[in-house]
Amino acid sequence: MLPRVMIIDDEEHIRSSLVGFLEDFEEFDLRSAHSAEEALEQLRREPADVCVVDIRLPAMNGAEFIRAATEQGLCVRSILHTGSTDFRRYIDIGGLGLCEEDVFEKPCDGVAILERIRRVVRKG
Amino acid sequence: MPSPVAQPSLSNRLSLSLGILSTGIVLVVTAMVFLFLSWRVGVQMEEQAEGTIDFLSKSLETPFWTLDKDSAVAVAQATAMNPAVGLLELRDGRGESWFAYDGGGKLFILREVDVLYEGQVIGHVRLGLDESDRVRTVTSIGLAGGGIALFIIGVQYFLAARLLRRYFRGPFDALDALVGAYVKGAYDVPPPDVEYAEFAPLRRTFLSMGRTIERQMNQLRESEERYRAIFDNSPVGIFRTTFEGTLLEGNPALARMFGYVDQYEFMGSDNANVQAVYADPAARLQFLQTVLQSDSPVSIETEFVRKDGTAFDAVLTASVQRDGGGSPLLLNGAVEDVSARKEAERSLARERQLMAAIFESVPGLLFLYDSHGRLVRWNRAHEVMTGYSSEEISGRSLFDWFAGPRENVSRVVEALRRGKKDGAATVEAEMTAKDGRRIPMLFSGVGVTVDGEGFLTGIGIDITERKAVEERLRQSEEKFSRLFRLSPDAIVLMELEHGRIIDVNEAFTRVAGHSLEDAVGRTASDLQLYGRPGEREALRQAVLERDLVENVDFSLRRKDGSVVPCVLSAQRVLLEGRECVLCVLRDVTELKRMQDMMIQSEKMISVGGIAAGVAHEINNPLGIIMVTSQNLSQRTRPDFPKNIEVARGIGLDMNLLDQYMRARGLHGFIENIQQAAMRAADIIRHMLDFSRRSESKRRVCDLRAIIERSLFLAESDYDLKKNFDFRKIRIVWEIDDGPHLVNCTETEIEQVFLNLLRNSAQAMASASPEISDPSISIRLSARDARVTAQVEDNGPGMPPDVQRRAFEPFFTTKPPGVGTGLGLSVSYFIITRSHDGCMSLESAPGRGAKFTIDLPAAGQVQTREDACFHES
Repeated sequence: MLPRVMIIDDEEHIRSSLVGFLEDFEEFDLRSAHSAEEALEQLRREPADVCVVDIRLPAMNGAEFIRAATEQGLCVRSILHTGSTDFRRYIDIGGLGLCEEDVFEKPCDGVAILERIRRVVRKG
Repeated sequence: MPSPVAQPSLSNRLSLSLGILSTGIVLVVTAMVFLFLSWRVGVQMEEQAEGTIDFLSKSLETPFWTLDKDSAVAVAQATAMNPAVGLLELRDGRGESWFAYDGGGKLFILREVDVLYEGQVIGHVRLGLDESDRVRTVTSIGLAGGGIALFIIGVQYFLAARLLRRYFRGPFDALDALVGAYVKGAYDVPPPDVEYAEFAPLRRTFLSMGRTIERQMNQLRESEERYRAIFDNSPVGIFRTTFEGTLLEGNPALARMFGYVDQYEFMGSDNANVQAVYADPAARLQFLQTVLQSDSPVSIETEFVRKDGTAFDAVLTASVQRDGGGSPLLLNGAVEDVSARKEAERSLARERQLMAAIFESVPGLLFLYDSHGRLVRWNRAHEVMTGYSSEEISGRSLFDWFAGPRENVSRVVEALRRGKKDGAATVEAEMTAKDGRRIPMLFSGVGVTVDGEGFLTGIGIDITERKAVEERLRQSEEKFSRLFRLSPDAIVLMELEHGRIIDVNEAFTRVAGHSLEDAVGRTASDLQLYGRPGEREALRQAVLERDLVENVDFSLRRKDGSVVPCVLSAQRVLLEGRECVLCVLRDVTELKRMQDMMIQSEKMISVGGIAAGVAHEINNPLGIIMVTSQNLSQRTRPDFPKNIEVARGIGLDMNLLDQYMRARGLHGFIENIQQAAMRAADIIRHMLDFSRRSESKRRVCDLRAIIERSLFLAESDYDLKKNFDFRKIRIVWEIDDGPHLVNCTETEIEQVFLNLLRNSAQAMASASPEISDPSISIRLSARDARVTAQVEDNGPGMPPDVQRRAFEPFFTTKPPGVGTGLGLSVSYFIITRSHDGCMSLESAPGRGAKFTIDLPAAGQVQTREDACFHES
């Protein structure tokens, strides 16, 4: 069974291009959601191994999502993928259980994200 | 004088008295004789009656017996013939009347006898003697006696009158004449002649009395003359009034006092009742009450009114003169006009008040020391200033005030010595107050002699403020002198008339190149300071017209001939009575550059602000572009299993597709898309650096460690590696002892140095001809609370136009896509804006570039303006 990866971004083209990029490798069971709420709903049915989360989301933001998903055991690891430049001012990366390697600022190399997911999945 | 007629004469009285006495005696004797004789007449008449009746009874015995009636009647008739018989009745034994005779007159004696015979009553006889006979006898006796008495009295009167006149009236008249002479004031009359011894003492007494009276009268006259002289000539008004106020007596002084010619005019005037002369009529009443209650004279001070209506102050002293019964009778007293004295007193009091006011209003302490150096008079300020109460301050010695350093006391001693010689002296000394404060004072003292005793008087002024002002003035002068000398602006002081320079400061020497000695005494034209023709006249005109010229552009020609852009301000001033012009020149070369930079910085800040807002919006599409182009590139790869699978499904030969893509250069295009997206993201990131300000966390960092990290980043910089191997550059460290601690945001400073290193590396890499021994010198020094870092390469350097624009945003010499043109401007921004530091560049073509960064050392509060002020 492939590791389940959830892409959460309110920008549809980001979602589709990233899903498109990753699915070609046929290494992951990919899901996507346009909001944190929708993602949590899906995850309650099928928890994920990795969530790639945008920070600026319509209602619940990325950080809140990570906190909720981790608490509810809906997602093992998360990766931040954000277009914001000043997110560090209000988000404590370490407090969310993330490290600098888990942070990707848009625009970024899709390969880098792929490699990070592979690495995280391998670590289990 | 009693009327002599009205009073009885003594001699008359005496003779009358004697007359009355002797008359009384004569009358008494006469009356006694008369009474005796009258009694004797009565007795004789009774005896006569008894004899008659006996005779009758015997004579009638026989007739009765014999009843011889005729005889009996004859006898009776004979008897009745006697005029003395007033009644005669005869009755026989049986009671029958034989005879009855009644003369009808008043009876004096009535006798009745019974005629007896042989013891038998034979008849009755009744005899009454008539009163008139006896009266006739007695009257005769009385008349005779009275006549004799009257005779005797008359004789006695006559004799007494004659004798008394002879012996009494004469001497008495003489004495009377003597007294009369005395009464008339004639004391030198001859003593009267008196012939009897009884009058001699009386005469002596009278003469002695006369002499005594004469002496006393003389004394009295002399006394009166004396007192009259006093009364008339007394300067004090003397008076005597009734209680109702009627003026009975007054002396000339009193009259003059009240405005009259003399006392007679006063007493004849309306004011003769003194009620009217009191200014306050109630005052007299009140005074009278007081006087009545007192046994001794009472004085009051009151106001009187003169004849002409003017008032004057006077002291009224009076006492009550009482009558024998102790009832108040008169008021005697004196009035003294004290208006002059009162006026003098008022004047004196006013003088005293004025003196006291002056004394107290002096803005310092006043003192008066006696010859023993004891404080005897002082003003309130003295107490206030020194903190001593008036009890404590009294009698304090002059030297009690001066303690402290010896020279403080010796100055006072010296001043006293000088004062003794010259009569006055001033000295500055510190006076010790009660609480131990030492007050700097200026004393001014004068020696005065009053009633032969020497005093020291004078004034002391607190000069604390003056001293402070002097000190401030000195400091101010020093400050302004330093300001003038050390002002970063060139200052020139010149006289207006000829424009000759009076003084210049160090900045002038630095900017214009002329030393103080060169400049003073010469004109600006002599020194050829005007960079543009006509500038001199324009300036002179402006100063003359407006007195003040502010911030006008001015071109200053230096001694070496180069022209420096300046801003000039000039002010017309009056110094030591001379019209001068003070010119301040500011070299604005650097300022102009800084201004340009500032303008750019401000632009960038707003750019940064906008960038922060739109970054997210742009990064997202960039992300789409990035991943989508990656997808394009990936999905056209001929070796990717998924591609092969999908292509096979639709009968597409992936190798052919790949050949087509290569033939058309599509892979290159896709890569271009990716690079363009990355470049755009780079620009965004750099733009954001402008908006990242001091909100980043500051901490104290070692600048060397930061530079070392930047070096490490530069060595591992991916972009740099592509063109130039950073490790080929020789890094030369030159470090002093430090410490090189600065309070900063590490990542920002790190970025600054990374920019500098990257620029140097890129410049050296692109240098042509190639640099044989590329090296970067990094110098670190700590001085004057500043930490200075220099990064100097031996690269190609910059021509002046590039150098001038090096910090300008978006200005770059790198090929498109290599640099954003923001690196140095962001660095400048970080150093100057975020860290209060300075950043400058020195370079020349072929001589490398040297960036100097100057930051305040940790723990120092110094504004960038201060720091960079020194730099320039």
